This record gives sequence, C-alpha cells and structure tokens, in this order.
Amino acid sequence: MSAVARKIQYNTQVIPYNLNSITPTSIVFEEFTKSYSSTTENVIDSDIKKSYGCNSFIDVTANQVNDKWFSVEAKHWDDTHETWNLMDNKNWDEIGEDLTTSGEQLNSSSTALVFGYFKNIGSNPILLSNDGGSNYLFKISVGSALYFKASGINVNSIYAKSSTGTTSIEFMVAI
Amino acid sequence: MSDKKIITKVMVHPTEYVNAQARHYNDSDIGKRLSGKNSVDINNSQHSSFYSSDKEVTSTGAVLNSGGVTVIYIMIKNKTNNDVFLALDGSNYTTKISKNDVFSSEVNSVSSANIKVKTTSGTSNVEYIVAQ
Repeated sequence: MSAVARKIQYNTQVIPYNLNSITPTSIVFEEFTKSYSSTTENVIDSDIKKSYGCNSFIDVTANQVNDKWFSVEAKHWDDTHETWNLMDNKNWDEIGEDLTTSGEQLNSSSTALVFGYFKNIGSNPILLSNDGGSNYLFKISVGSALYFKASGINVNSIYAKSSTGTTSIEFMVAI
Repeated sequence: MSDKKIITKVMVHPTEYVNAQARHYNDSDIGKRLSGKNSVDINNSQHSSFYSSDKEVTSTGAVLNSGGVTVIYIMIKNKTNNDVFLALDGSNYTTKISKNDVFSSEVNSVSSANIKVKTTSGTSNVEYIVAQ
C-alpha cells in the first residue's frame, strides 16, 4: 500500500442506441432469389444523436489507508505478460468480496475518499451506498463497473450489498 | 422489450511511480487494468428533459430531469472549467465531476426530483442523460 506516488487513469464511453427493426426482404437474381429474414440492428439514438466519452487521470495518495484499499480479482496466469511476480500476494479466497443482502462496509478507514471503483464480478446486481448504508442509490449490474470522484465522504461510508441472493464485488477505494 | 438502450464501457488503470525508471507502471498492489461493460434498457418513452446537450449549472442545486419520474440511469459530462457536484438524494453532493469528465451509472430507482447538480462557485455547462 506504500508507493512513491500513485496516479489513476480512467476513461468512459457512453453510447445511446435505438434498436431498429429490419423487415424481411428478398432480392431476385437471374438464377435464384435470396431471402433475408427480419432482424434488428443498433443505431445511435435518434434523439441524442451522439456518444459521450472522457479520458483523464487523478493523482491519489502514495500511501493508501490499509491493505483493504482494494480487492481485485487476479488475472489468470496466461492472460498477461505483465509483472505477475510483482503483484500483491493474496490468497485465492481474499480476491473480491462476497456480498449478501445485508449491507457490508468495504473499508473501515475514516479518511476522506478521493476515488472509488467498483465492479460486479458475481451473478446478482449490486447496490452501493455512499452514506454509511442508509441509502443504496447506485446499482451495478453483473459485469458492470462504476467509478467516481468523491466529495465530502469518507472511505468508511461506502457500503455494498447484493440486491438478491449473493454476489461478489471487486473494488478500489483510494484516498 | 425496450427499443432504447445505453451501452457504457469504463476502464480504470491504477499506476504507481517508479523512481528508477522515472515513469508510472501498473500499480504493484492491484497489478492490472480494471474495466467493465454495461447495457441498460431504458424506456422507449422518456420525458422531454431526459437529455440535454447544453445545460448551465450554477451554485444553486438544479434538477436535471423535471419529469418527476423514477430514474434508472444517469450520465453527466462536464464541458467547462468549474467542477460539478452531483446529488442523488436531493441534498448531499458527494460525486465530483471535473472538467471534461463523464460520470455514468445505473441508479437504484431514484426519483428524478432528487438528482441535482451544482457548482461550488461560478457556472459550468453539462451534457446529460437522466433516463427512466
């Protein structure tokens, strides 16, 4: 959790779509007729007419609050050429955080939160609270990730729970 | 089935500075880039204020979608200099959106009346989608 300096690069792409229906059609050639069945295709939303994106970075504190400032699923050994031997050593059962329908505090530090990242690596939607578990206003669907810059809240105000059954969360809470 | 959907992809790359090489590398705690992809089906019928390409934000909290609807997805892009702060409960502005940043998220059935933005001083301009 100690380093010389830390920086987090982040980017987002948002694309609003309409689902357009393509009606069945046939093209009559000299020798045969080619038929196309009905289908659908995604086109940029006709109201909004554009996509959105950003790419930036934020400096965070070199020395993070404690070892629980992240819980991230490890890469499979042959998925990467990166420096696997330099990665933090975690046991397999310390990877990700299992959630139930009871709210769970992700980190107990009372230091001000600067940047949070959360990904649903389980099989049910996650509900996230940034006010100590009073209101779960953020939703993270399976496979989705959410990040935000925080203002006026502490690390220990982040709670997460499964909307139903159990699920798992990957997270980083940086100061 | 809805004919409208919004696809969101995010990537987060934690890095740490290494003196010997004088550059940033993958953070040695986390060890990889982080990412996720989301597809949200939104209603075909949306309120007329569910999006805007240019909304001025002041230091007074303002509701974005005035439809009085239950919102499931929000996206806000800050186009100008002053930081914009977002509240999902109508009063606590806990998410900061810096210049040129995009914040997007599914939300857990939040009333549009509680989704407000403001600056701490001066004005800013945002693009947004606040969809039911």
